[in-house]
Amino acid sequence: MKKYLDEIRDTRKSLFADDWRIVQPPDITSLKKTYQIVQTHSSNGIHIYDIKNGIQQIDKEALQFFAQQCTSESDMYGPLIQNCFTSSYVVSVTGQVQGESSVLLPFVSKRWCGMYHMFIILHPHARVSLRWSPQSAHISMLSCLLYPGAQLKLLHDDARCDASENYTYVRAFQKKDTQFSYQGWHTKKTYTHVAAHMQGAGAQANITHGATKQAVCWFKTMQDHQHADSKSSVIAKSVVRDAATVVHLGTIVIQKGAQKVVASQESKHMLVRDDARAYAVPTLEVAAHDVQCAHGVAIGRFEKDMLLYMQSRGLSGSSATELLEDAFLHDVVFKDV
Amino acid sequence: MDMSMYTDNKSFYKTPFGLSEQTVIAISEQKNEPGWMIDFRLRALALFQSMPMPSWGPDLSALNADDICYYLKPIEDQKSSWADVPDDIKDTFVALGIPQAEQKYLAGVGAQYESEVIYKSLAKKWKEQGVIFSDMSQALRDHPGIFKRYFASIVPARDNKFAALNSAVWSGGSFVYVPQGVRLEMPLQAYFRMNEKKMGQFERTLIIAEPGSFVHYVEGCSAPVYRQYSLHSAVVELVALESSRIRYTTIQNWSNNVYNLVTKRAVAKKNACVEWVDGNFGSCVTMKYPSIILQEPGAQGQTISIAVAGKGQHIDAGAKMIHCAPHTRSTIVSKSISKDGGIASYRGIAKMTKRADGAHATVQCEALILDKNSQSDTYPIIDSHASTARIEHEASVSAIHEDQLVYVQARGLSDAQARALIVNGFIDLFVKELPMEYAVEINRLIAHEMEGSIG
Repeated sequence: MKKYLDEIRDTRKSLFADDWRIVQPPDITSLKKTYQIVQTHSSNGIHIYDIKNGIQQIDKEALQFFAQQCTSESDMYGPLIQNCFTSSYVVSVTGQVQGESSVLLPFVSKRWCGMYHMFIILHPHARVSLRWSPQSAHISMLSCLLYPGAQLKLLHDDARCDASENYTYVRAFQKKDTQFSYQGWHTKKTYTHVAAHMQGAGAQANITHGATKQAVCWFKTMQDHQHADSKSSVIAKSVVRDAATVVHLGTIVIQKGAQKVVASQESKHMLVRDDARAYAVPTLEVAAHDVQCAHGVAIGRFEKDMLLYMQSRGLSGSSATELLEDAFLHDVVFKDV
Repeated sequence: MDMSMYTDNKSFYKTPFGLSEQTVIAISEQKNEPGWMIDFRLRALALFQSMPMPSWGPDLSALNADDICYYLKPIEDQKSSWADVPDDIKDTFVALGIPQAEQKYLAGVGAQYESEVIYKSLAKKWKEQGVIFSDMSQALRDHPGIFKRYFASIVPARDNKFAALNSAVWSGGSFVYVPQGVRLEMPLQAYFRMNEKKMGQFERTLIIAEPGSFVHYVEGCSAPVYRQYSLHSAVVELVALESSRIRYTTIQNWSNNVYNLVTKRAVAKKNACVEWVDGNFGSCVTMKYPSIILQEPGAQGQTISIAVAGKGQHIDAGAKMIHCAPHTRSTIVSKSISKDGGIASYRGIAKMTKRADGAHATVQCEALILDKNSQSDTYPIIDSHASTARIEHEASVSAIHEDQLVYVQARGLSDAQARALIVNGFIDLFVKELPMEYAVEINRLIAHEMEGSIG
């Protein structure tokens, strides 16, 4: 375990000047006892179980999938969460759930950091919109399995979170004709990793990420096209204020044989103050030839001409800047946040 | 490239295979170098031995440092005219078509055959203007002051493992010094050649452009095919002083058994301009990322590169632009073609430091994949610390699409002709940057590389 903690620290130290620490609960066993009492909640085709009851509710394929998730050593964060989790949940969606369902995590003391692992299963043709908004410091992993025809919309924000920093890892494994949509909106120090593994034809993934006001925003995306005829897009935008840093590490992988894939990645960041910093690594790994794959990065600041134009219409300097920021972030911000 | 290009040469001096202090001292003694250079080489050797192999990028596990000859001197003396060059060496150049293609430029050629420059001449008027164009060893002997001032100042031995290797065993390469205000209208050219199996080639090139000067240096590489692996690990350092301009054109055409691991870096001072034009063909593995440090206000940098990766090849090339001063500008245009299972990668950095107010960087990567077995990767890093700076990056990967083919074929071209035309259009921007003779050569090379791939 120490190895993984060290790896995370090393990764962050190499990127950021500040010393970000993972606050590990001193006694994991006691935390487990406290927080594994989960409110079992069933309504409108969405069922939430704790891990003990959850594994009895899911089918063999999903069980196998979760077993793989728990043994995978390929990702350095996975074992960290698997071995340190304080709570695990299974969310099973069987029908088409109307409206938005919230998944609120229990409050953990400010001194400690909660570690959660959510297994989200969408059965064939199930449809759900989930809001992931933890209330306290957390390191969380959301493993999503989408059966054919399923649609998952995941809204992730830290508006209710009282902690200054959080880590979330979202992985979606998509079968045929599935749609996975992730929308992240962050105003606090966050580390977010979103990976979409498209394993069937017609799978689509749309990932948007917006950030503002934070000290550090670290956003990693993976568009993994394992099958032909899949589509994905990433839009990451941020307005970097104060002495803040935004990092976007975006990867598009098109595996051998995954022809007719369409993938795009857009990363745009506005630096508002002189000591702000933006760092982007948009990576492409393409092993199929009949594809359309592109990425673009732009880092800069609002043009003085734009500000002048709006100020000449009677807006103050700060109002004009705010308006420009809102317009810039329009397509990534949640309308109700 | 075929075996007929290999001619049976008689080497004059050759160090034993493998790398040791004795080898390094032997190279230095053979060149009759001053004490500081021997110390520099030995320090670099210690660095090379202490540094790990790069853990990123292409696979270098087949490379064995003990299985390489680090120094080979083909003939005893430098020849003063083309007529004095031995026939067997001339035959190899003829096989490459160099003299015919560049007769009128030969007056300025420093042609490197294995580890020594065997032929060089400098146009009289340039000499009168104070231009120095010699091989590195001669420059060390004849111009020790300026040599020591700039040597390893841009690429120190500790920079990376292969820069350390080059620093330890370097031999050959060109030294160019252009005095203040002198503008060389004709490009300086040097053909680098490797012709001994398992022969490592470790040339080092240093170009210094004094304020207000201009020089265009053209470097071309080719090698006959051998079964055993060869290593080419060069270091190129460019110093562009105030308001000067250096253009460095490389057309690399190593045979497909060569590891080409090169460190190229330039420093551009106030209002200076540095341009890298880089064509990467051949070699089994290439790792080359020409970089420019835009050190003072108004400096400009440009890199235009093309990589063609065929069967068994991994071309990992790119560019780095480091903006350290206000109002600096840079452009990177990188194009790659992968075919027959080849891997073409772009790896680069565009960085704005805190002092780069009002700076602007543009990066554009385009990749063409010609068949289902080939691969194209892009690994750019975009890093901005300056809020008033702008960085734009875009990359795309695509194939030759059916509608493009139909459009061209509708104008009366066959399928093969249509594909060739589209590929030629793809690389057109690069070809336009080359001197006419090289543009012709590149078109021929592309046509040769594309044989079978595009009909």
